[in-house]
Amino acid sequence: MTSQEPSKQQVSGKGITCRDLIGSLMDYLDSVMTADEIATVQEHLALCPSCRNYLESYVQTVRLTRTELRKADAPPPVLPEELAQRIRKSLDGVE
Amino acid sequence: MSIQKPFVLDADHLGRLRAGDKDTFTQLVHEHGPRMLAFARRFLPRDQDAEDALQDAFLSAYRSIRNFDGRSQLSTWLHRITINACLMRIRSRKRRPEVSIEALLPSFLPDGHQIRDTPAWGAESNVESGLGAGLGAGSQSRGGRMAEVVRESLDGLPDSYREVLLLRDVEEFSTEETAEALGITKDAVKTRLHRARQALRAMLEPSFCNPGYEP
Repeated sequence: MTSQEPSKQQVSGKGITCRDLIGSLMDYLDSVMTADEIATVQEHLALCPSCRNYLESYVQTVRLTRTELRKADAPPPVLPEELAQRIRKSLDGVE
Repeated sequence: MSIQKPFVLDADHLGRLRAGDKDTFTQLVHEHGPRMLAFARRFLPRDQDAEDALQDAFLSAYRSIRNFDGRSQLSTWLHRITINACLMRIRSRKRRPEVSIEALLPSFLPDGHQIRDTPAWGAESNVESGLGAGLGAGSQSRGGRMAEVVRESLDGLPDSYREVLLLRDVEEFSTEETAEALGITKDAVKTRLHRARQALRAMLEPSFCNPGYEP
């Protein structure tokens, strides 16, 4: 943290620490927290740039995983003919 | 090259599929196979493994098509069968030794604060161009360099974490569905998912904070 940023004592004002916040990120993002819990998380986030960065990069990771893998694994226009034939042949052994 | 007619699942087709008509089933293979192959490639990076899983999936579908009641979409039913075939393949092959991901999780001081402050990440567009810098022509893989970095990082996760991440965050299974598919509790799914996301975040961080960085 820089000198303009709050001290670590200020950040943990209501008792929630970075460990608490990072441990409960999924509940926060899934909106399964009480209003009081959400307020406590948001209070910590307002004071702690490191946890804000952590939250943003965590969300970005989840989004990237979905979008980039789907882009990378776009279906081929047709099934490779050799594979289609192999599948067709494998059915012959099934009654 | 033969031209396949679009496969529309009507009552007539369903009847023929249930009766074990192989020609009708082959039409289904051509129609749904490409999409199912894409699913399989997410779970099994080696093309041969993905193709083997696809063959297993269609064989399984052919054997159980009588049980398909038509209440769900055929594509949804086939998606589930493909995922199950991939999970079976992963289990049947020799598991990679489970490496610890502890070093990729945040660490804290005794008072609960992060030992190392998390830096802000750069914009994705900057990262993509930074990752592309210095790469020669033809080095772009399917989906671009960003997709390749995400894929490589994901493949570095132990199977038990990778599976949960793929099912929840990519295939969009619910926690309950993921727990059922993997034979673990819902709490275990939640714990693994959070740890997997954190580990992946840490693996991606160098690319976002130093866009020219090559993992």
